[in-house]
Amino acid sequence: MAACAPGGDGDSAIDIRDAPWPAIEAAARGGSVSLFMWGGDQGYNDFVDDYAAPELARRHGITLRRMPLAETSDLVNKLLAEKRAGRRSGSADLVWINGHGFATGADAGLWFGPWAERLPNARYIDWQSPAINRDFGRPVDGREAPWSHAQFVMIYDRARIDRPPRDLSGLLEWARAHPGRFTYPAPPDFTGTAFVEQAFVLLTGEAYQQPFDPALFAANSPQLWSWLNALEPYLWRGGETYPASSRKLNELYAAGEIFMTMSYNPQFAERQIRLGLFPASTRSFVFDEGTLHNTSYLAMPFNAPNKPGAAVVADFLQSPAAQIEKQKALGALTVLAPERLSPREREALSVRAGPAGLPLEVLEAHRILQPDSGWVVPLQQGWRRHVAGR
Amino acid sequence: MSRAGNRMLRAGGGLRAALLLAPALAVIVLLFGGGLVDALLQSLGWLPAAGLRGLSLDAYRNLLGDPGFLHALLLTVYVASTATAIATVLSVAIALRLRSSRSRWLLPVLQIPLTMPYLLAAAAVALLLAQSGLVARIAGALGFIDEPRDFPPLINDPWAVGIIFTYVWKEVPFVTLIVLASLRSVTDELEQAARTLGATPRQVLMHVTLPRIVPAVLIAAFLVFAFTFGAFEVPLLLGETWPQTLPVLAWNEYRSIDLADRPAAMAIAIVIALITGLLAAALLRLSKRWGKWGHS
Repeated sequence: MAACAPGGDGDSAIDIRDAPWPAIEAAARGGSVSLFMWGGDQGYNDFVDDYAAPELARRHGITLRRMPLAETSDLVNKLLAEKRAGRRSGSADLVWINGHGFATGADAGLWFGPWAERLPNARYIDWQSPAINRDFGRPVDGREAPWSHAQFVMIYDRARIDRPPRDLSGLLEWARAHPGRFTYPAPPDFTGTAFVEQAFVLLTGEAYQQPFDPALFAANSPQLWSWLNALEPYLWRGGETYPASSRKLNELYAAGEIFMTMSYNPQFAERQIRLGLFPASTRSFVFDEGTLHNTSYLAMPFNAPNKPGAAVVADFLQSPAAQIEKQKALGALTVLAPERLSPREREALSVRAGPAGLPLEVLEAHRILQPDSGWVVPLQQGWRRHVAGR
Repeated sequence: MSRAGNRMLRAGGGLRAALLLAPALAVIVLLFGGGLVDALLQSLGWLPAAGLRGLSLDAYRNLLGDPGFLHALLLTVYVASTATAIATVLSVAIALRLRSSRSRWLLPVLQIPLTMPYLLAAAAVALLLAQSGLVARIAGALGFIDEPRDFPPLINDPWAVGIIFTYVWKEVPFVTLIVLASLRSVTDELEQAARTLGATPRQVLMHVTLPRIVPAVLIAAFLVFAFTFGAFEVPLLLGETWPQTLPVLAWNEYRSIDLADRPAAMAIAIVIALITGLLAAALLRLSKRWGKWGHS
């Protein structure tokens, strides 16, 4: 499968895999870059529209066009269709893709590369770290550039819960004492899948960094199903149905139907309060043994029409200036390695979160790695069969 | 006119009709037929762009062994037939009423749901019937319930009340329109004749009016059934986590991060097409028979 399609696409004469950076910058000037990304987070949308787009126009003469997606898997299907139709010049230059989408696209040879480790600002990034060079367990191989870091947090209303549970057995106990006040989005929702994956890791004490292993899955998954099924009768609606998306889960929380929610964005609670969507008594917590964390990446489709432009945009988004701005605006964690930054940059990136979020030190001390993406589909299917369809 | 001339006229008309329909037919055959063939190939495991090059019935075999699929099939049949039955009965009743009504605004008002997209209708029903929805809030304000969860679950519920409600609300205007049109073919004279011969209003309805409109009603009901059987946005929004309707199941398989699930998605889509296709064929046969006694 041609993972590395020829770089000689119609629009640009240079191959960004070996051209010198000034030549790439020159080729990018005056062009437009379409960035496809999940459109469900207004904070990220505003960051791209109000900060990144004007800065890129000013510094590099690039017009950045943000293209919202309902779900990143939609784009993978679109690229697959383009590949089948033989479209050499596609519609997307750069994609904010999650680990699931990256793995699917990698299987079908949809990503261009390697290019990411060549970016000038890649010198601030620790490409030796497995949190960077593997995306949901899948080797990145320079086919995507890291631009943000996320960690799963649990969110609760302090006005209704004195002390949040510290681990999964505490959560089960709490749910039992407060029937109907907890639930999670049904997989394959991204957040719901993460909740189930996290429970799998925490309950069985394995990290699942290796490729999918059917024997290990058969041995360990019953523990997960029995915990989830023990929880089920105490869920919202008695576990007869689950919210279909994290948006729906957050609506239930906002309406006071449930007392806890969850997010893969550690500053989510803070922002929802600021927007007036969550009660001001909302707080975040992590389990004692930790929560999942992962890196967000920008990938370039095999048929991206403006690859030099896409490279310049990716490089800009991982610059210390843009990373500091992103942290200020969104609270999103940086992908840059602190020891490679100047003291001033380090200082700017260690700003403490507001009261509803968690300090960086707490998050860093409670981290578990995202399992390899090969475990996701068996978990989703198993959940459907052993939990939802029981 | 002679019998032969009659036949010639009919044959010429057929050719003319075929020519006139050609552009529309071309679009249907190319786009719809092409899509169907593509889906069939993918359901057999043929998707070279994703590295799938097998040709087998595995996807279908796996479906039959999957309790999720069988539940989905039952749920889909239940939702589609319940919604169709309620919408049809309501529509016939409304059309019979409207026929004798002189009101000029009643029909246009009834047609309003026709103009609304299904997605919007589903969202509106969710806002109305959810446990924290408008009806529940009013019930709360009136003191019938204390908090949202005291309100019966009508959205994402096991009996698919929300889905069926949405479909009935959307389909009644459509079926009513067709029934009204077919009622025009039932002349007043026929009904008056029956009445002068001593038939009660009920007998007129049962033996004169209804038989004349049955073919149109059945065709309208089939269109509604075929649509609700294959549509996915309303059950996606208002359905339960488990079981899901067939189209939602297909959609989820289609969006799976594992491209090896693609044949399963397409196999479900083919099963949907097969079931509605068989129903259409059965209906066509039936309507030919009515054609015979209708015009003899």
